[in-house]
Amino acid sequence: MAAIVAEGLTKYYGKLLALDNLNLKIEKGHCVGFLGPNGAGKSTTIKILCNLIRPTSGKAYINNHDATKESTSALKNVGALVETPEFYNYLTPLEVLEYLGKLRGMPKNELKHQIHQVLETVRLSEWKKTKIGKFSRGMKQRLGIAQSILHDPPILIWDEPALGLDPRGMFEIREIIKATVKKGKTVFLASHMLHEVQETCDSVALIDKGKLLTYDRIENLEKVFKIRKIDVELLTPIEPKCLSKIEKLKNVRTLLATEKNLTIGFEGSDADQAELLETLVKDIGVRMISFKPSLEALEGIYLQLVKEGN
Amino acid sequence: MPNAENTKLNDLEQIAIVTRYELLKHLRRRRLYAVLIITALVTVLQFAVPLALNSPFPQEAKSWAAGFLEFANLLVIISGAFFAGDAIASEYEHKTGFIVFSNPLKRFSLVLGKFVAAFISASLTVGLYYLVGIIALQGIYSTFLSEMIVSFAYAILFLCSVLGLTFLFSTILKGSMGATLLAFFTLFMIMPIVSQVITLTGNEPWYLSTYASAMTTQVVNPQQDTVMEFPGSPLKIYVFYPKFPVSLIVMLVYFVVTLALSLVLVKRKEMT
Repeated sequence: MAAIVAEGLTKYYGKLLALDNLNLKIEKGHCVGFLGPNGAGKSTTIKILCNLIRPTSGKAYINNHDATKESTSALKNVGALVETPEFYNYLTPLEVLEYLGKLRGMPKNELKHQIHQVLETVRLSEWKKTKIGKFSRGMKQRLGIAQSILHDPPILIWDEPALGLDPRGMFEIREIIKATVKKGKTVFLASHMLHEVQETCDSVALIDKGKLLTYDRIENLEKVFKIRKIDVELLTPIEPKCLSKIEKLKNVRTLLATEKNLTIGFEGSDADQAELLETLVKDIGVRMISFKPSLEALEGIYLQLVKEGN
Repeated sequence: MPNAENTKLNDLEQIAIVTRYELLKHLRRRRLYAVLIITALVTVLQFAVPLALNSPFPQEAKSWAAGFLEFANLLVIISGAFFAGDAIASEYEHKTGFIVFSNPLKRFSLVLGKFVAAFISASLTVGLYYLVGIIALQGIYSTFLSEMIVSFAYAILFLCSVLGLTFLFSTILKGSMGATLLAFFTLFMIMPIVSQVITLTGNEPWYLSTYASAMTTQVVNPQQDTVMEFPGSPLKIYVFYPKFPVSLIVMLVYFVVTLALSLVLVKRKEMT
C-alpha cells in the first residue's frame, strides 16, 4: 500500500498555476527527495498533504485517507515540518511539545519519555525550559524536527528540514533522516540541498513549474542521464600527461582536476567503474588515497531537467 | 514506543487542551495586565473623582450602581477585543498555524478552545469589576442589589457577542492588531454612532448589540422611553432603552451567528 498518493493535484493561487496535474505515489518505507527550484510547487504539494491548503482539483491521500476530507485521520500518521517553523513565543520547548503531544492524545508517561528523547535527538535538552521567543532560527528548526518525530509517526513530511542550520546542524539532521529511514519509515523530503537528498533518499521526484519532471530511484536516474561521477582523493598531485591519459580513457566524459582531487564523469556500469579505478592505479600510476561517488551526479540531473523544462 | 494509530482524543478533550494553553498565553502576555490595569484605574476613578470634587454619592443605591455599571460594557468591549483579537489571526500572521494545523486537530476544536479561554479571561476581569461594585454597594449603602447579578448575566451575554464578532474579525483579517482595533472601534465607536443616528430619526436601534448591551444598567435602574418635544419647534428628541426579551435575543443572535461564521471561515481559510 502506498503511504502518500497525489492524483492529478492542481492548485491555482488566483491566476497563478502552482501545481499542474501532479501525480505521485510513494510506497511505504521509502525516502523520497522532492526537488525543484523556488516556486516549483514543492511547498504547495506539502501544504495540500498537510491540509493547510486545498487543491483546486485532484486528490491527495495519506495511508488511504483523503488529506482534505479526512485530514484528522490522515495526519494521525504524519509528522510534518512545513516551511520555517514558528512557535508560540511565550512557551518553552517542553510546553510546546507537551501541548502538541496532548493534542495527539499521547499518554502522559509516554509523552514525557518521548519529549525527553526527541529533545536529546535534536540537542535542545539544555534549552527545554527557555522561552522560544529567545530562540534562533536554527533552534526553532530543531524544535520543528522534534515536534515532527514526537509521536514516532510512520510517515514524515519534511519541507527543508536543514534550513537555517549550521553545518553541524545540517549533519545532525541528515543523521536523523538516515536513522528514520533505517527504521522503515516513509520520508517525503522537500529540499534544495541536493547533497542532503542524495545522501539520505533512495528516490527523487523532480518538479518544476508545478509539473513533475521525473520520479525514479537515484541510481536509475544516473543511468538514464548517463551521469556517473566519482571523486578521487590523491596522495600526490597528478602530472599533466597523466591527466591527458585519463581523459582519453574509454567511457570518461569529463575530468576536473585540482591539486589533490579528481572528479571523473563517465558513462557505464559498476563494472566499468571498477575497471576505470583499476586503470587509474595500475596503468596510469595514480596514487589514490580514497574514492567515492560524486554528489555532483544528482546536481547534473537536476540542472539538465530543469533546463529542459524551461 | 508510541503508536500514532492508537492515539484517540475526542473533540471536548482537544478543546480543553487548547483552552488550557490559551489561558497560559493570556497569563504570560501583557494584554491581561493591561486590561487589569485599565479596570483598576477606572474603578479607583469611580471613587476618587466624587471624593476629589467633594461631590456626594447619589442617595439611591440603584442610581450609583447604574452609574458604576456604565463602564462595565466598555470593559466588556476592551477585554473582549484584547483577548480575542489575535486568537485566529496570529496563527496566520506569525505562521504558528504551520505547526498547529498540521496536527490531527479539528480547526473547530481550536477555535472553540480559544473562544473558551478568551471568555474565561474576559469574564474574570468583568466579574472582578462587578465584585468591586457589589462590595462598594455594601460599603456605601449597606445594601445588596440582586439586580447586580442579573446585570452581570447580561454583561456575560454581551461579552459572548463581543467575542463572537472579534473572532469573526480575527478570522477574516490577516493581522492581529487590525482585528483587535477593528473589533474595538466597531463596538466602541461605529455601532454607538449608528445607534445615535437611528435614534435621531425616531427609530429604536433594537437590533444593534451595543444598544442591547445597555440592559446591564437598565435592569439595575429601569428607565422609560421618552420623546422630548419643544413647543413651536418640529424638533423631537427620542430616548430609547433596550427591552427584555428582545435585547437578550439580539445579543444571543450576534453571538451564535458570528461564532458560527468564524468556525466556517476558519475551516475554509488556507494557510499559504
